[in-house]
Amino acid sequence: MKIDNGQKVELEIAGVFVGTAGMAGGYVSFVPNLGRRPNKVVSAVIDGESAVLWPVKDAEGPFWTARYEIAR
Amino acid sequence: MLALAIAAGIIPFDVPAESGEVSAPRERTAAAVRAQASTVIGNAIPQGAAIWTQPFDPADHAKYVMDWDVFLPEGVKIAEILSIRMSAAAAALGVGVDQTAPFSPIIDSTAGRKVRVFIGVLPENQEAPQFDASGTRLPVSCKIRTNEELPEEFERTWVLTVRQA
Repeated sequence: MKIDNGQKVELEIAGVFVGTAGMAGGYVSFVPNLGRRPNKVVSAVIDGESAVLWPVKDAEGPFWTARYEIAR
Repeated sequence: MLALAIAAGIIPFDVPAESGEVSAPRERTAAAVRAQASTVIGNAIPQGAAIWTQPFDPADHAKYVMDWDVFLPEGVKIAEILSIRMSAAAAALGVGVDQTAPFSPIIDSTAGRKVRVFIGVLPENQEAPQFDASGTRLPVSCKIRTNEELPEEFERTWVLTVRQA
């Protein structure tokens, strides 16, 4: 039995978010705290690694949830 | 106990599936159905997901039951819990399933058609503003394997409301 509670990661999206986000199942979730809403595709830094995010606003609640890909 | 379990849960954690008595108040028991209504609950929550009606206060550490009785054909039991997964938003808010004995998930030992989990919130997250007012609805997914000769596997999602109560 696998129990996946996800993990917390340090996320930076310029002008949108800096701080601790949640990551689980190939997605990362955050609540913007720098005043700007994210674009459809954004560059980010997750735990010090460059990444690309495709954020979508959750239909309810303040979270944005994004597919992400770590840049290689 | 839960804090250590979740804090250490950076990697999906393998625990042995166990069985035991599964019981919880009706408001903390929700049934998965075979043909779900196309009710839109929200992004990241599957349509028609079963909803636990009792809200979860962030300071709680309580059992919730995933009822597969309506979903599974008569006579079929849950042989194994394959996985239980929380969402990314739940991870951000420190909401998780307790992985430590005796609170780790179990299959109902009576009829074998229910799964019991204990849910908690990390102490440092319990005052998060996302839990104020109407709170936040979070999906909890459970995947099982049946005891049929040709076993089937199913994953369904339950919805937990976490708010100050």
